[in-house]
Amino acid sequence: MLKVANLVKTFPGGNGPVTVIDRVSFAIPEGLCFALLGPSGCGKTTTLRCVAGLETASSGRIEIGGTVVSDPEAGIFVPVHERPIGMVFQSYAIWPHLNVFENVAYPLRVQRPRSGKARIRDKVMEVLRLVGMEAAADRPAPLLSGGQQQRVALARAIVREPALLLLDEPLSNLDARLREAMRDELVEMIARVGITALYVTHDQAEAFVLARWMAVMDRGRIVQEGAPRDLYARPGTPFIAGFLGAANLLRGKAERHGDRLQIALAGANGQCLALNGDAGRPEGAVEVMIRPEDIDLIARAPPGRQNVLNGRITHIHFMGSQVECGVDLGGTRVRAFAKPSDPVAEGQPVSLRIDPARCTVFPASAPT
Amino acid sequence: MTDLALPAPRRPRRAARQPSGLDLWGRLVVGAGVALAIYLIAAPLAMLLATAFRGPVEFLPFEPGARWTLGNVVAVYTDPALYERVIPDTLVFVTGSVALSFTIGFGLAWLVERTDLPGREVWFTLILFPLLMPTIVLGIAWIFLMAPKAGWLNLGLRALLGIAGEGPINVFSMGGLIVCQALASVPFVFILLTAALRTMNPGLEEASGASGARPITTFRRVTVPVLLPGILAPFILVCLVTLEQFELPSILGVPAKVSIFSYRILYELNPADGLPNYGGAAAVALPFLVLGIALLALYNRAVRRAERFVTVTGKAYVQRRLRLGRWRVPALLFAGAYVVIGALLPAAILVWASLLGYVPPSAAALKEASLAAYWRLLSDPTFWLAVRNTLIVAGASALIVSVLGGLVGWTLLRLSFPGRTLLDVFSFMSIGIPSVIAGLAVMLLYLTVPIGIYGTFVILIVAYSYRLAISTRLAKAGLMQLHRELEEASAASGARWMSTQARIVLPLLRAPLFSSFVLLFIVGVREFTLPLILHSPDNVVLSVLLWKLFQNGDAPQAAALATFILVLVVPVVALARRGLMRAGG
Repeated sequence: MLKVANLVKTFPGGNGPVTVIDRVSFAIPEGLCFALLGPSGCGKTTTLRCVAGLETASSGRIEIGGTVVSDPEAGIFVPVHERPIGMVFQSYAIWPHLNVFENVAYPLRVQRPRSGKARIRDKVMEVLRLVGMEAAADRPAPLLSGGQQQRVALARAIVREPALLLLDEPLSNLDARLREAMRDELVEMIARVGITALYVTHDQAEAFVLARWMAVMDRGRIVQEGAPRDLYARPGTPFIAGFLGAANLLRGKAERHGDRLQIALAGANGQCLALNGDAGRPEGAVEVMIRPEDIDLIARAPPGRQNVLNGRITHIHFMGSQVECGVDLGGTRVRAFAKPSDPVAEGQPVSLRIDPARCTVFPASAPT
Repeated sequence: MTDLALPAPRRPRRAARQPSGLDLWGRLVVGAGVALAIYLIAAPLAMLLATAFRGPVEFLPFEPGARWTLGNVVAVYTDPALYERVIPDTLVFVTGSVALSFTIGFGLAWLVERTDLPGREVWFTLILFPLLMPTIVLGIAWIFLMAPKAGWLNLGLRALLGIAGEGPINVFSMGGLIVCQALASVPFVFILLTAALRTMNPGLEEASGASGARPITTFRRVTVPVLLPGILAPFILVCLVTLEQFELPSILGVPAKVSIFSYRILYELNPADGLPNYGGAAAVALPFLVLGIALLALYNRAVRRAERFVTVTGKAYVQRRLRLGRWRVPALLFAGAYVVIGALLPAAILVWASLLGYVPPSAAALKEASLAAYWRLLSDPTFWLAVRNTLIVAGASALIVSVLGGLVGWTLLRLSFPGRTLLDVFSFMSIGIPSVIAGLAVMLLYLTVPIGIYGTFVILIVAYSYRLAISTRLAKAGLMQLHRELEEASAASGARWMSTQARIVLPLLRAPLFSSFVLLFIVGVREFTLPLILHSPDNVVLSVLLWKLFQNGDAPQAAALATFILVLVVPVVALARRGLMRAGG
């Protein structure tokens, strides 16, 4: 449905051009919701705006529904108003001088050839019903709440049945509590419409919930692409691991012993981890990534048990549904979660049981 | 995914397209608007510059026979009158009236914004009232009041003090000119200073009070230093505007043999003997044009500095008000005196004179009142011609300038292109061009370019339309409030550039565009300098007709016309204000 190949965007800058998108390629099949995730300034919004036609690419090709809409090398640029897209903006961009109905009817009113009044009315009301705003059709735009604005923005984006729906951080303007509710609502509405969607966000939780496929961007490049679960479990770099969720990164030295990989952890009083020695796992100086939720906090065990590390609790942060514990292994600090009912206290000796199947091993990024 | 051989990033072959969905129609409209805006300012100035170096005086600047020469420049700059009269007089006039208007204006602004002066809203409106009265009308009213022989204030004072002869007040003097110009400028100063006072963070003064400073110490050690950067910019602007004044210097200054540069230009065009000296007028104008632009640049720097100064944010604070206590009565008298002399007395005197002519005010005289002057005015075809011309010229130029200003403002904020800064400077430059110079430049241009608008009201529309600064600024301020995504959402909905402008931008910019139109319309109705310089029997406007009637000694009819102008302007403003309130929501 959408194909982006070798997209490059440079802006003129003080010391020569600045490359904000660097050879980005991805494709979205029909009907899939695809998330572009990355920290601010990574080029994800610029990528989306190039797809929309609000920004001109420097090179590379963009194809929507089999039609090339942008290819500077071939001199092709289809202006934004001629692309088969619907877009939900970060600010929602609900026009304050029009009411809900007129906001949603707008794409049909500017369409050529014109549609009949009755047809427009039917179509708009159908879409408003879909987003649950039919009762508010006559409400002036300035009277809408944040959540209602989002629904109107979505209705406006899908009313002319575009081939591709673009969403630019649509939840970032809402406060935290509302954001979760609107996120769930958005998933449901996008699924109901069954539209191909490109969703840009910096919030990994949003991407996980909304997208069936996602790509992580960093400094203008796509660094990893895959299904949300796989990316979370098997991040390609420490950066991705940290960006997608809380992660412990433990330095150590890996040695292969038959089919096992023995990792002597640094700053852990000589304690080791024993992992599967799968092909391709690095040896030598490594970093082991283990997520806090994959660590079991257990009562102090006798030393020497495999994949059980002994340490001492240095701090406790009570967070409501869980208790975050910092455990010192002998210089290296590890984060783990306890239940609120668990009897944990600062200074208490504990053991951590690590699931070796949930560990990811990276070659060490920098010397210790 | 295709083509995995990754090409190195390189610059696009063609110039980057504007991402704002600027299609063919958009380009045409924006291009034409910007080109016209530049033409309206640049073409006359280019002609002015060229004319300064053309001569001799027997020929029009570009008639066959005229040639390039330094004669004009040499003649003007070797003339001792320039150094002995024009420059010193201009300096004294500008310094004096700016100092006086700033003192009065700051006093009023401070009383209204920062003290518990009773009836602040009413004072605010009253103090701004003279802004509506064309300066030429005010000038004539003050002559009625303060002319040395027959001025009514003088008659009263002489009777009161038991002196004979002339005076004691003489409006036809440097002192009279300075005072009158200051009174006329006060509302402008007042507007600028109330804005500056309103955006001052009261926390700064409260902190001073909490540190143990008495109110007067706080005022001296905190209020004044903190306000200075915010006041500097208005100060420079008022200097610039005063330098450009033409009305009062010509009607009060000329009889007093005060020679201000703006009048000097008119004198070169209408010398007592001989032909109009276009080259000489242009040569006089050049350095003042440079000075005007320099002051404008200074003003821009001051504005930027004030914006950087932490305390002066764009935000309006709720101000803590000083209790006037026993100073309340003197404060009320001060504000009252300004409003009476600056607005009420002139308006009253005009109504009186329109009914009774030069008869000094008294209850007995009231029986003689007659509407004859009005009947004569209404039966004069020239009057109706002037009404028509005034409305057409003010309306058309306000429309043109609002539209062009809107386009230029949009271009500046929404497009990036080489020369953007230059266009920005250009759009702002009109403030730095004295209207007498603008008038001269337009005159020279259309004397030379034979398109047949010289002497018609069309040339007035063209001349008035150089004032782009106000409308561009208002449009820019309005556009800055509009999130760019509102326009992008329209394009992403499938709308062409023109549809987006018509359906989204224009409706949302209604308020600033409307206020720009109203402001420019009032400026157009008040305008005196441009139509006087470009005057012909066919394009007479109300302000010029008023001046002619007054010069011909027809006091009652002049007063009747002045009254009519007030009656015309005040309701327009009142209506516009109400419309604006509604549009602004």
